[in-house]
Amino acid sequence: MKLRNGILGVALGLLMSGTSYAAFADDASTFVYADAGEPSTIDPAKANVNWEFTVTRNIYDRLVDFDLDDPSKLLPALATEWKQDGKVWTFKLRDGVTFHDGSPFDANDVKATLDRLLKIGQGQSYLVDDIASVTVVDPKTVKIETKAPTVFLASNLSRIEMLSDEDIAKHKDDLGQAWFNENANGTGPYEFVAWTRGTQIELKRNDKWWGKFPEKPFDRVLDRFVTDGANRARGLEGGEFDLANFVPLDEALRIGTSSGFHLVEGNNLWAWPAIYLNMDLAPTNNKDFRDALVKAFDYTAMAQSFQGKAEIGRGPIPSWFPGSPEKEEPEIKTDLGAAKAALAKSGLANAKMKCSVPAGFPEFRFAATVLQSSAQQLGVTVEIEEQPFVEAITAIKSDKSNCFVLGNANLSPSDATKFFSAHYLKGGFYNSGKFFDQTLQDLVAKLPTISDAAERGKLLRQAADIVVDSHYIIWTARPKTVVPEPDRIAGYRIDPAEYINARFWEMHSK
Amino acid sequence: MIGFLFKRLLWGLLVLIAVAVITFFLSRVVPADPAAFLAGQNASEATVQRIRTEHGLDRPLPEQFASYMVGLAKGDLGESIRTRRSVSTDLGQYLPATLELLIVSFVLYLAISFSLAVLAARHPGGAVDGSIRLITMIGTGIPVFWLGMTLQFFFFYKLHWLPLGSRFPIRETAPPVITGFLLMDSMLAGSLSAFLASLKHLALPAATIVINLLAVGTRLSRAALIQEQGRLYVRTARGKGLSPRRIMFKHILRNALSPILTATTMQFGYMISWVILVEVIFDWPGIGLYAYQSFQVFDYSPVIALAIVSTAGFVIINLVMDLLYPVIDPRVQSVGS
Amino acid sequence: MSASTQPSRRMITRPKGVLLPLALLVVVILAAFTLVPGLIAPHDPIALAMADRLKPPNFTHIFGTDEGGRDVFSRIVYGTRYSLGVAIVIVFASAVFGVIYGAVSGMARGGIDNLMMRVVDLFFGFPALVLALAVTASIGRGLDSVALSLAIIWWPGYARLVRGEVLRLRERPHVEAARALGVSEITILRRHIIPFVIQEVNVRVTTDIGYALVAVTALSFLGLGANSPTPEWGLLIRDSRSYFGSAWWYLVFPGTMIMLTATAFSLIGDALASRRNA
Repeated sequence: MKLRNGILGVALGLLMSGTSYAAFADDASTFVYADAGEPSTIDPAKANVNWEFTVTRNIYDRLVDFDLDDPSKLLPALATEWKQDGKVWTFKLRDGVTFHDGSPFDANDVKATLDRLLKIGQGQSYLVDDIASVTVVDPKTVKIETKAPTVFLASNLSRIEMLSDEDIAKHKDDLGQAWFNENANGTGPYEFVAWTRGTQIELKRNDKWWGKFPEKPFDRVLDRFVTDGANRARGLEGGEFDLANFVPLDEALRIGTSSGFHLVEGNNLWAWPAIYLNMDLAPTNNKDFRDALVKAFDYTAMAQSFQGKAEIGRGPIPSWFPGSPEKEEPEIKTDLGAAKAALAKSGLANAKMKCSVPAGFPEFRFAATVLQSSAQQLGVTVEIEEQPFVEAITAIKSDKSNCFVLGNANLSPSDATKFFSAHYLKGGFYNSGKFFDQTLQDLVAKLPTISDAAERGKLLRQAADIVVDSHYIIWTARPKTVVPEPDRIAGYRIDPAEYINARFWEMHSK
Repeated sequence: MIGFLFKRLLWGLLVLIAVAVITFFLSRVVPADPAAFLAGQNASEATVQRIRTEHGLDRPLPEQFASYMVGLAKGDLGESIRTRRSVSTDLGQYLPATLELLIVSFVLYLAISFSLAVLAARHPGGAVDGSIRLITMIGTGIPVFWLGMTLQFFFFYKLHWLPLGSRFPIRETAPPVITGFLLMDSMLAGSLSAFLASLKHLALPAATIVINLLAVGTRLSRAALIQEQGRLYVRTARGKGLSPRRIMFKHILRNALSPILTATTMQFGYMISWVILVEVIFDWPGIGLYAYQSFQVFDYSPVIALAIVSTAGFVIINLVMDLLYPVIDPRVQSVGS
Repeated sequence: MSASTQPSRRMITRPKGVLLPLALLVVVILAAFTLVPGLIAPHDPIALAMADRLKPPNFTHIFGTDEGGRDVFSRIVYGTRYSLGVAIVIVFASAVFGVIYGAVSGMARGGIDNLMMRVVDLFFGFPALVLALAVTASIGRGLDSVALSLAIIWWPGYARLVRGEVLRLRERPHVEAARALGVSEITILRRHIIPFVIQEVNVRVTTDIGYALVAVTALSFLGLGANSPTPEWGLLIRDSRSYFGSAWWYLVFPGTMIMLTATAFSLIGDALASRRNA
């Protein structure tokens, strides 16, 4: 008994002793973002999934920005003006910008960043892999020379975060990979504070930022890792989170139309499930068979699964993408009669095929389910296997599966060739079904060199037609992205080239 | 005694090695390439190959295995590809969260199943006994993930009484990490509010685990209690006029404890599995969630580490139990003698 | 045992008076679901019907519909075959293997017994879910790998139970007498031990079917088991999670089915146990 009282006494004593620690501070200016995963790295040279960009986009700045409402329109950021002269681009840099550690930003930082990015060769480096050399002209001017003339360089640089050359020099042994993996020093609107593994990354507002914050911005941002979509929806609705990434569509629509919330709608590529068919493995290596699947697919069912907030695509480039030829392309429709004819032509009646679906995305799973049910009407059996992303894409690449479902992301706001090179050119990571067409390869290589927009549009149309006519992809319905935002906050906008970009610097409380 | 201990430890070591070998080979048969994940989705094939070499993923399997076992012997559990840190560092971070949840659940489990058993054993076969049995049975029949979701639905979504998940209120600053156990750290930081907040966060995950295990514990405790009640010494004590309360606490409980402890140590493997599910549902940053997320990207080392750590836990608990029995229940002969 | 602690038969049967027939009824219904789902399910469990997408329970769809407009009740009926079927396979396979293993171990005694039981300990310590993760990683997702990994961790329970029983029964006077008369070990095992052990195992098997069902659905819930569009119960719950706030019925009914089924088997196992002890 005495012992027990003693322990209690000590415990109470500790509780009452009151150290400097205070758990419950005023939190009116804290913004909580429920992200779908924990970053594997916060190195801008390696970041390549949404929940890594959440951190890098807000800590670092880029040379240029673009208008979310019109991605073809570029806006000044760390560079205030730029011009192209053949293979050479010249950027004038902004005055008086400093990194979070106080060191000034200049042309040397741009050179060190780009050199390092291209050496590492990961993450978003593919967007600027046509850079041949970077030259510092003076502290406020930098020249970038490309291997061939490209009109898209500035637009693609709107995704490339600028690091400090001093940080790079300080950790040069491994190109700074270990250091940048979990440390960050940018010029951006938010500063890195701490990374609590398994739980959150904390940021604080950089009030020395060169840009302009809205009224009542958030001083502290918590990027929480909430892996489960249902939990993100529930926490958003229950007020634990201020905004959430990848909320399942039905939940997003319901929450966004309930009281205390409004819906933010926008165009976006990510949530558009595309079904890739393996060009090397029977039966999908047969063009008529693929044609049959494309014609049998029930596009209306897919649109209905998006509660009607969707349109049916006609090719790889959505209508709102700068220079898209979609409006001139013929419609793609379900036509069971034509599908049966194509199947008869292929001679593959009663064929069986396997489909690998990355787990965790209800839209992808449903696209595969619709394919399964549509193929059933042709007498074709589709077996579905839901797998973690890496396993699913490996299955089709190693010819263990006939099909794969994926959203069609392209991080470049206006360069369609990057989109083609990732998805339809030889060696592209998302070219999981191993599509190859020499004419397309040549077209895509030529496109950026053409300065006349009308001429580029013509070539883009040709490129799109090659992919459509090959029946490599089934473009299921393309949904509007909807994001529920609580009425107590405002400022959220959807980035068309990323599923959700949380531009914390534009968010504010009301 | 020493010989017995030595034998048990040796066997425990063998078990651990077996587990490491089995999980290592099972997990490497996977047709997926962790280097592709590490390189990122737009990396060129050359970059992927470079990363494969850096991480030794291109070496033949026996060679990878040998270097893994050598590392293991030195206490090195390998590198996590997903977190880009050593697995030991990660475990140091995530293990306390899991242990805290397990310990709280275990204490609650013992206390509740014992109390229910005491109630049930008072009138065996009576209405109370029957209802307790039915209720605990239903508790065990509810799938743990579904139970967790249901509890979240009522206590967070509908009633707003308890948080959705995680270990500490999101907008607040957790107490400085000293032990990694939030309950302890809150006390050490002298914050009653932090202590209560941590308790609130523990409530649903712990309840989920406890409800699922309750049937077994209650049933065993009840049987043991009924048996003890019938023994001579209890009747003697009763005859001497000792209060029923005193008899229960001083004599019966003590003697009935050992079969329950045995049974619960056997449930350990089961409990670890449930903990993984509970951690996934409640976003509890422990080793279960850690291993599960790593598994999603074919980051093998954390999965093998979880197998090793939980098996080690099992071996240690059993060993401790063997040594403790004579203390708890003097009728049991000291082991090894 | 003294009269005061021996629970009276009357009292023990009373609460079960209602429950046991109910539990048996549940099992009969499940058997019908498994054997003739086509006669019971009012709708096709697989075909899409987008017009009926996520409809709450009504007269046509008593358990409502899912994201493909499919009838949740029909999916549950057809799913019985997968969820319960696999659970039964796991338990029977483990029981058969465990009984043989445990009997051999118990009869052998000594060093072999010790070694065999140490192997059993190894499996006891192995977390089921980690094993399942590893097994599915190597042979792929599917109910077959679920069955395999669960059977691997399930049999040691039977082995230990049977060994204990064998050791206890061997010491019984009639077994000792038979041995003294020169009856062979095999015959002793067959005549005097196995029949009693089987009774014990029956109880365990009945209860375990419920637990195995819960485990099977748990693995499917984590995405390690059945593949879409198989209407496996755990997979239904996994899929329903994206519609949790919008379609409660989609989540509630499959979960309730699992709970009812597991509880029914527990109740029957309990009844078997008390009948045997009486």
